[in-house]
Amino acid sequence: MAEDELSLEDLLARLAERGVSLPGDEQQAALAAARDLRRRAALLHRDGGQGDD
Amino acid sequence: MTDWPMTEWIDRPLSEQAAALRAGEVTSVALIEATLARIEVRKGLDAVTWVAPDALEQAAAADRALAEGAEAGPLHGLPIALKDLFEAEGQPNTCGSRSMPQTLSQTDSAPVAALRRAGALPVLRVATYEFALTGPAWDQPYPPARNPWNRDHITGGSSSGSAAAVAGGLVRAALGTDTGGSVRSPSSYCGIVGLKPTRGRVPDGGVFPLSGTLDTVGPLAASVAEAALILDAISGEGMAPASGELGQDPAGLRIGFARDWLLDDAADPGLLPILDDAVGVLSRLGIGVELVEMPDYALAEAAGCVIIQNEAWQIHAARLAENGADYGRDARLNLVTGAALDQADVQAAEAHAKALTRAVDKVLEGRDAIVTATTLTPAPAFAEFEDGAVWTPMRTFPFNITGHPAISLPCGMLGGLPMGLQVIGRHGEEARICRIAEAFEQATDHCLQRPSF
Repeated sequence: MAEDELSLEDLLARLAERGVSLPGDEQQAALAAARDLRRRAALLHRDGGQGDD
Repeated sequence: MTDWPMTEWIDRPLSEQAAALRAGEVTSVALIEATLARIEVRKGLDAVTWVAPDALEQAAAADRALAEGAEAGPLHGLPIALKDLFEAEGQPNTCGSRSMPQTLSQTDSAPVAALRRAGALPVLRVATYEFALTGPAWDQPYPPARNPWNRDHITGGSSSGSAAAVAGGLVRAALGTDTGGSVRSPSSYCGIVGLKPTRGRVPDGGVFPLSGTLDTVGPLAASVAEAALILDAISGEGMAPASGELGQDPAGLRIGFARDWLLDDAADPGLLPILDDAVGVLSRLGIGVELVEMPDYALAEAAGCVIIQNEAWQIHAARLAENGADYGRDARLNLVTGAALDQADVQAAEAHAKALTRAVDKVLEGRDAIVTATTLTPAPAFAEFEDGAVWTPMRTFPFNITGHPAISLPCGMLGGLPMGLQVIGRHGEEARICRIAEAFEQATDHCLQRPSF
């Protein structure tokens, strides 16, 4: 999943799978933090897991 | 800033305190009394969160044992502080979270048991960021620890209280945990020594996990020798002593200077001259210095973040479902990000971790160590965190991923706040990096500088 594909609905659904919910006033901040993490993950995919070998 | 007034026993190195105890020049009771008095006078640091009610009785028992000729371990009768993440019998282990049960631990974690076998008195608990995640935050069971150099600034974390307690002169050493830099970065921010050992060197059973893959228990201490002393006490069996090369001439050793990692927009403009000076000191000690090209830091940090957030989410998901409202806001926001990761993300991070380890091993071929900065800036002010967590730039993460040992020690000041030099060694070679770090420590006066009170 590319980082820009993560929607609030996606995130909340993933949390709900584990029985976790978030207060309404925290959801946008959680989405921003999750998108930031996904941006980092996307860096790794672009690198192809080859690191600096 | 002032030179440390060595007028009290608790301000002297642990080895000197231990010798004085054996010689009958001081008692453990006197050391604990002085420690408790110091904590009271400097309570504005918000470093200590709990003191054993029977601390003085434990000290008296240590004194009696010594008087009766019992075999004394290297830390006999000496107080050591515990990050509030370690199980210790009879102590509350809050992990800095209101979500933890209000009970006392029934058993010791492995590092605490090891400290007790060495004779130490682990009678103080010190602040941590909630579950070693993120901070500072004001919705934990206690307020965030304050930087002894300037109380308007953070200590860094997550071993926040450990760093504040040592830098504030409350104890000479404390235990912390380092998953992405949580021993080394607060040590850098607070002007003390922090030692992250090789992954697997210190058994960590009974320490609340953040990431089983990256978590590493290590000491924060007032000097390199004391950090090595504590590490040797808590190391698993069969490990070469971290103190094994202390005092040996470093001339002839070879190091690589990871200067390219400092050329970052996030770095304080004053950082590079401080690190260049530090490397100059090492060179004048006869250590051969070469510039080395390091792996991409952003990629390493990305891999570390994915590994931590995935594992932390797995650890906390059920607890969040049960009592998520009892977590602090920043901790909750941090943890739920892990749900956004897919298995492919984790696999990419693990693949990068293997490649990164090979790359760092390659840099260390024919060299005894790599040196670089620990953090790229001095400790930020609390005011920067009023709207929530802020990413602080550091150079610690890769060595949690690769498992290499790394030590941070003071190397200068920026704006009245300390900066840290980081020395990274080959796996299992804590003794070599401690030798280099101690030589630097003794060639400079950075480790002698302490905040004024």
